[in-house]
Amino acid sequence: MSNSQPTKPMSRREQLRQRQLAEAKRQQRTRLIVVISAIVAVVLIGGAVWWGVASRQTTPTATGTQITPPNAVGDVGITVHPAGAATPAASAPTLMEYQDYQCPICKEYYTTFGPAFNQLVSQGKIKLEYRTMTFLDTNLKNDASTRAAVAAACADTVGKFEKYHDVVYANQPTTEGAGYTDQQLRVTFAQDAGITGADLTKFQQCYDTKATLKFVQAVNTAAEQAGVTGTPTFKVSGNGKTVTLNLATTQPTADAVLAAITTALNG
Amino acid sequence: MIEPVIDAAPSRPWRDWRTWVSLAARLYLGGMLLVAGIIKLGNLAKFALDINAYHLVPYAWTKILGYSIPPLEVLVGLLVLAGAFIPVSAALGALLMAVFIFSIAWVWAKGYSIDCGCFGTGGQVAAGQTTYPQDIIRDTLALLGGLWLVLRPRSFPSVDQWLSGPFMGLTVGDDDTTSPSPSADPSLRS
Repeated sequence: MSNSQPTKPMSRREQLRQRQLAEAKRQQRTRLIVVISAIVAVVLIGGAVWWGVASRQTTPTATGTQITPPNAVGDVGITVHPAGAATPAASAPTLMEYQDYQCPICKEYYTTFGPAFNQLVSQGKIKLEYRTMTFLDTNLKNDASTRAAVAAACADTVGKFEKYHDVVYANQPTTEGAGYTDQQLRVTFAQDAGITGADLTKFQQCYDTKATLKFVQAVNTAAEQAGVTGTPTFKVSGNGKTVTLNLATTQPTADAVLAAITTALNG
Repeated sequence: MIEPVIDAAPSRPWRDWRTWVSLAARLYLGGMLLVAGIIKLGNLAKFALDINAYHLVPYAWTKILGYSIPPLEVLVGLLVLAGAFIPVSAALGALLMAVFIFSIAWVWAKGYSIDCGCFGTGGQVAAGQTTYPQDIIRDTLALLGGLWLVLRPRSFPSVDQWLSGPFMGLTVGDDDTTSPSPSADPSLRS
């Protein structure tokens, strides 16, 4: 640099540097816009893909007027009133089973403890409520739990809830996730449960329009809110309290079950 | 805004061992968040039910959290993997890890067996089959990675590094000659 102009070259270098800095900042801003646009694009595209996938999930939709089954207990379950059963005393304990029709363990309990439960009910010693959940639809990615629950609730409208419940479990597929077809639910199972004639028409109309869907969903939500996260879960209420009942070590006889219930309520 | 680098002799980040630790932390934390998030995206309703099983938040919150946490995980995972806005994205990632660690520890302490009865893929999962300690260790490593990244955000290659330069800026001089930027001068390159 020549010494005859000491200040100008310095300011020229400074000016150059300022311009470079400004240019660099501009380029940096451009790159930032590229990065932000890429993020926005990923979010939008990801959201669109997820939306497309999510909206292809099959959940049954109701096309008919919604009804509550005649033996419903509020919107938390259905109580079992088999024909010819003795009327339970007001002080008789209530046994509640949280179940899901696609649940293999529930089927095991139905096979083992079913007769004991039924005996206690027909003797009027307990009240029995089934609180049917549908969360296995989420786990197994089908809608069989909901449709089976809707069908069972519809069976209650023609007085065949208990029998229909048994038929569903008797026909539970060995491959979990295979579910139940509409043909099974509205024809085969109805037949096996003894629903015929005008009752069959009424049952099928109820099932086809999913008239008990809202009830079924309410029961499931109530169970989730009650903190039931697995099936089967047994609870008993009586003596002014409700407790969880563990039947894992109980003999599958009516007497043993009743004793377990009494112990749980008095303990 | 990161001050743009326009001078010659870039700092050669790959020569600093800390840069490599940061890169490893990015890959581990980002990778874990991304994979975990994608898996959960496959069944958000189930994740909401799982949250309900933890009994940590009221039922009304489980659906909101269940549907929003996995997409957030994926986004933060991608940002951390790409090395974008690292102090913030790594802090978010570390926060998510902290939430997961707390949830697992909570369930462990309370003795819940989350996969029981017909909750998992069918069948009972005995208490001895839960893997809480391994899960906590795995997640704690990711959390530590996130904390490291907050303290030492620079790693290479990364989006942040691209955003900070160097820029091949050319400016026109007063005498209408174009002077090359210092970083274009090969003699000054490392």
